[in-house]
Order: sequence, then C-alpha cells, then structure tokens
Amino acid sequence: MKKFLLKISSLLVLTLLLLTGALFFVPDVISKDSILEGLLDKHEMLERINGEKIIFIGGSNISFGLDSKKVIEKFSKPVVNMGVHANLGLEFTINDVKSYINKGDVVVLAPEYENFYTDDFYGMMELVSVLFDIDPSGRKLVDLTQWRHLFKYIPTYSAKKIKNYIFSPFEKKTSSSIISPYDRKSFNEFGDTYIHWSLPNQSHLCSKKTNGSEKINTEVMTFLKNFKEYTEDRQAKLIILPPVIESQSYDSLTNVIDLINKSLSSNSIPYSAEPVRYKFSSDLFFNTYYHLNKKGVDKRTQLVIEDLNNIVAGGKKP
Amino acid sequence: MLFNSFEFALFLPIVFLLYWFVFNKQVKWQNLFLLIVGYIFYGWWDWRFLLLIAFSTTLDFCIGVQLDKTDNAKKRKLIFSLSCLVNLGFLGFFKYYNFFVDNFVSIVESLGFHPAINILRIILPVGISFYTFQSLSYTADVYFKKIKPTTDFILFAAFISFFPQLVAGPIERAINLLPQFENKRQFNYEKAQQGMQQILWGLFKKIVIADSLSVYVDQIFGNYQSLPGSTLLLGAIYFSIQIYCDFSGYSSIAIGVAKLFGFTLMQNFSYPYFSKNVAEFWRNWHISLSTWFRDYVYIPLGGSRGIRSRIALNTLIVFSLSGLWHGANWTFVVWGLLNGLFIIPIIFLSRNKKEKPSNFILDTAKTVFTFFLITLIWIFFRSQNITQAFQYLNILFSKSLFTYPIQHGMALALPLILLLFLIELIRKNNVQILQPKQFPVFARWGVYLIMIITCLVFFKQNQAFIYFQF
Repeated sequence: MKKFLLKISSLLVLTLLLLTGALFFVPDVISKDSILEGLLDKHEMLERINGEKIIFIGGSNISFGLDSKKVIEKFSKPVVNMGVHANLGLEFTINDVKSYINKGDVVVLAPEYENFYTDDFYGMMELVSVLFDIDPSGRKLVDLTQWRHLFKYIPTYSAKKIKNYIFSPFEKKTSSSIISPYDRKSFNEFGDTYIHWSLPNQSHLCSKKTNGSEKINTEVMTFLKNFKEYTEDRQAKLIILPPVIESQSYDSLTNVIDLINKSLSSNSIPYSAEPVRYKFSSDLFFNTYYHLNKKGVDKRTQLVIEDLNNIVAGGKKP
Repeated sequence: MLFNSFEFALFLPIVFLLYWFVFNKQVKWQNLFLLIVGYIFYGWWDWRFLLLIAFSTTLDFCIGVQLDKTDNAKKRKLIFSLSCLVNLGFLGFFKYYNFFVDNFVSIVESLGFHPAINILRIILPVGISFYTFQSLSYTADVYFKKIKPTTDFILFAAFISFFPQLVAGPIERAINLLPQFENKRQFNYEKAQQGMQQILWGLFKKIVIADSLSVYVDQIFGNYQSLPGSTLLLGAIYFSIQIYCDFSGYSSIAIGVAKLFGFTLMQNFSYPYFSKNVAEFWRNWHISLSTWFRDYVYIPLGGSRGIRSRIALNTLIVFSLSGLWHGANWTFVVWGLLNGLFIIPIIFLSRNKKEKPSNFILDTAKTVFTFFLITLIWIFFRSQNITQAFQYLNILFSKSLFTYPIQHGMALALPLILLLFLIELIRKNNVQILQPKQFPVFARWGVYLIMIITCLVFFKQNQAFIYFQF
C-alpha cells in the first residue's frame, strides 16, 4: 500500500507541477493576438474618452452585431463596443467596465441568454485565459464564487497551453495580411468586429432545445440590480436589451427566454424591448446563432438606435 | 456522479483512503462502507432514485431468503415470479410506459377511435436496466439453485449498489461477485496498479476519442439530409468507434476502480471490432449483457436445440428483447432484430463446420466486412426514428457515396482512430515487448503523463456516457 500511495502521489505531484508551471510560465500561444487580447484595446478606447459616452456591454452578439459608427452619427456621442466573448461571463464583463462609467454615460447591456440559466455567468475557459495571460490585473475583479466555478477550467487550460506550445512550431502559418474574425485586429476603432462584413456566411449549428428544467440564476438578478444602482449612483443610465438571436435558436429557447423576460421585469430591471424584436432570420447570421453578418448588423443597429431613441427620449417600449 | 468529472476525481481518493485505512478491520465494515458510498454515488444524480434501488434490494433479499426456506416447487415458482414481476414491472413502468401508451394510442387511433390516455412525465432512473438485471439474476440463480442466498442484508445491498458498475455495468452475476463480498479484501499492489492503468485507458477512450467523435457524429446525424453519402458513411463509422470507446471506456474505468477496492469484475469487451462475423462480435461486445440474455432467456427458450425454425425464433426473440432493453424506441428493436437476422445463418453454418486453419487475407477481409456490417446496423441505433434511419441509408447508398466527404476538420479524428486500433491490436495479440511492464519506469511515467495531459486537453464538461440512458 505504501509503495502504491507513494507512486500515485508522485505522479499526481508531477502532474500538478507540470500544470502549474504551464499556467504561469509557458508562453501563451492560445490567446496571443486573438479577440481576447482585444479586451486590452477596448480598455484603451474607454480611457481615451473624457466626456459622456455610450458603452455597449455583452458577449460576441454585441461585438459581431453592431455598427457603432451609425450610433455615433445618430446620438453624437462616442461609442465603445465592449463585446468580446460570451464565455468571459456577464459578471466579469460588467465588473471589467464598471470603473469607466461616468456621469451622463449610457450603458447598453445585451447579454447572451445563456448567462441567465447556465454557469456561463461566472465565465469559462476564455476568462481563465484573460486572468492568467492577457490581463492578470483582472484577477482582483473575480470573487470566490467565481473562482470556484472557474477552477474546473484551469487544468484543461494549462494542458492546452502545453499542447499548443509543443505543436505551435508545426502549425501552418497564415499570411499576416489575412485577418480572421477571431483576431485581435478584427475590431474597428469603436470595438466592432468588422472583418467578417465582407465574408460569406458559414454553416453553423442552432442552439440546443431547452428541456423545460432550466432555472433562472437568482445571483444574476441580484447582480444586475446592484449594477443598476451602481450606474444610478454614477448618474449614468442603464438600458438592458435582448441579444440578437437566429430564429430557429430563438424557438428552441422560447421557454427560457420567457422566463428571463419575466424574471427581469419582476426584479425591476426589464428589457427595454421585447426579445422577439431581436429574433432574426437565419440568412442574417455569419457563423453562429449570435453572430450577425453585415446585413444583420445593419438591421440590428437600426433597431438599437430606435430603442435608444425611444428610451432616452422617454418613449415606450417599441 | 460521472466518472469523467471533478466530483469523481475527489470522491474516488477519499473513498479509497477511508476504505483501506478506516474501514479495513472487518469485512462487515468494508461492506457497510461500500453500501454507503454506493448510495452517495447514486444519490448524486437524484436522491429519489435511492428509494427505488432500496426497495428492489430489500425485496430481492427477502425473496432469496424465502426461496431457500422451501422446497415446494409451486411455492418457489410463485416467489420467483414475484421477483420477476416487481423488478420488470419497475423497469417497464419507468422505461417503457410512455412507449407502450404511445404505440397503443397510435394503433387505436388508426382504427378510428380517440382514447384519452395521458402521457406521464416520468424521469428514468439512471442505470435502472443494469441493476434490475443484476438483482434479477441473483433471484434466478437462487431459484435454479445455482447459488445459496445470502442472509447478510448489508452484504447483499452492497453487492447491488457496488458503485463502480452500478449505473452502466458490467452486469455482474451473484455467482462471481457475491463471494467477493463475503471475504475480507486485502490490498494487492499488482491489482491496484492494473486498476489504475485500466482507469487511465478508459478515460482516454472516453474523453479523447469518444467525446471528440461525438461532435462530428452529432453534426452528421443532425444534418444528414443535406450531406453526401460519403459523409454519412464517415458519420456511421465515427459512431461505431464513438459508441465503442464510450461504453468500453466506461467498462474499463469500472473494472479498474473495482480493482482498487480489491474486486475483480468480468470482462465486458474483448476487441469486438476484430471479430470475423456478427456472432463473434456479439460474443465480444457487452459480454455481461449477451451472456445474461443467453443464460436467462435464450437457454430457457430452448437455445440452439431443436428444429431450425425454433432456433431462429429463439435468436430473434433474444435480440429483439436485447434491443428493447437499450431503449423504448422501435429503432432499438429493429437494430436488435437485424443483428439477430445476421446471426441466424452463422449459427446454422457453424453447427457441423470444422475449424479451418487461419488465413490472414481471408480473416482480414472478414473482419473488415463485419465491421462495415455492424456499422450499418448501428445507424438504426443512433437514429431518432425508423424513417430517419432508412433516409440515412438511402442517401448513404446514393451516387454521392462516391464523392469526397465534406469534412469540417473531421479528418483530424482519423489519427485517433488509427491509434485506437493499433493499441487494441497490440493488446489483443498480447505483444510482450510492448506491454507496460517491459518499459523502464521513466518511459511508462512519460506515457502516463502524456495520457493525463491529453485527457485534460480534450476534456469537456458534462459529457455523459451513452449507456447511462439505458
């Protein structure tokens, strides 16, 4: 028994050392120059603006789904599209922006639906990548509950770093002039992903149908209520909009979307538009059920402008 | 609790240490501890399931004791019938109620009536088919006087709820497993070492191969109408490998975990894809279920004795029931029937056949043919309904079979499949120079580390095993 335990413990310690070493010391080739690094550029965009601004917060439904230039033209205010990736989780995505919110700002929040009923709210592997390789200062924004959820992604992330580091010399190098929609350079000066605007649609899967057992995470509601109070304290305005979603996926998620809508309303943080307004046909999507192509971006931007116009002007729900 | 989860990664070492260092003094403490952890493991899914397993356990324990008390054949038959009725009744209700109601309503509606029968929202308890069959085999063996019933309730309950094989087998026989619960287990280094190797290999098969292939299989079966036949063939082959790695991976982990606790479970897979015909395939695939049906259904029906039509009927009955055991859907029944149909000629041909010397080319051709035949039959198993299965086959055998398959990175899985077959071939042929013990420690440990890191790289959260649904 002693021999067995000694060997198992040694193998375990060796594995842990390898994973810990990879986490802290192996150069990052996973997220280097990826959209996740775009988060740093987006921080700079926020820092550069002194006066009142419009900030869009959400996952990739926001980054792939907005033409900020049109919003700027309409409202004559600078706009920053902070959308990067839904897997950063709503909690981190909001906490990351909080300190940049000032008097007179309009904060438009459009989180992906999964944030409300799955663990996505706390972040996934992409957030681990940000916290350990892209922006370690972001760790101070992460609380214990979030770490508990993130912990399960850390071994896989470390292992992937080892794999990518070993195999990176053998990977086919793409020409530096070709920018993928998932590159850091895929964002324009406002933070919109625009590289794919000239690309044809790609095949994509729809959302899995919900089975009716989904429950709304009450922590999300409490968190959003606190965020609303925070923006009010800062004399800024918070507007929550439904995310844009492909029609078949909307139908698959109808039950849960209804639950989210009701839950937000009962917590006095309602959507400023009905979710069905942002249900778009499949041909308007680029490569996932949340990523719009150019035609979709134009349509969504127009709807967002109408919604903001109505709300800022004190109008009713469209 | 899934074997491929962080919860289990914490659960296993804690249970292992408590078992060997705290509860190791007497066999009754070892059994009591295994019973408690078995219930924790099972209740992790839903504590309400525990009521069902506790009831089945108590009933079959009492039935075993009662069967031993009487020699009256009529009374014994009655007692045994009660065990069959209750066990199969539970299984029938939880697994097949809605299926039978659905079919009954369809038939009645086709006759012009409109019955008002409600479909119930029934949650299928995980692994009910597995532990029901294990429990039933105990009462059957006691009834047929193959074993003496146990009078130790804790021991019997620990046998039924033994966590490594509780939810997806191997379906153990009392004659093999029960005696192991009667004797105090002593730690055995060699056995534990083998157990760890089997766990690692099982996790590798499940996480690295099965879960990687599942992505492509889901895509292909989900969009089969818009894909060419060549891609559908690739999808069917990938599913063959996926289900093998998923289920045999589970069995390897179960057998490995059992070894850590001093138990030896039966082998559930014996390189089935190297079989030279469908009958051989079924002797090597899910062995614990195949032998269960052989011993408790096929042989009592008459087995291979009697006239040919009777043998054919027995075979078809067994394979239809085996199909239905997998799930409440006609796809499973047809899948079972097709397997039965392909086995019948082999049974007849092999009756008076002399063993021929092996011929490498002929044997390889037979193996490849059997693999493709089994792969095509799997299409029924994987499809949502019979119509989809036939549509899938229709497109597969169209002209588009001879086009280049649409890939979306699907070729990336091919090296994994080749690696699997290579390792299986080495293990099957027991190539001594490639056995782990032939390598120096640092080389072995290097391989272990690579396997662990690879499992972590491919690891996805919440990837359940396919056979959990059965």
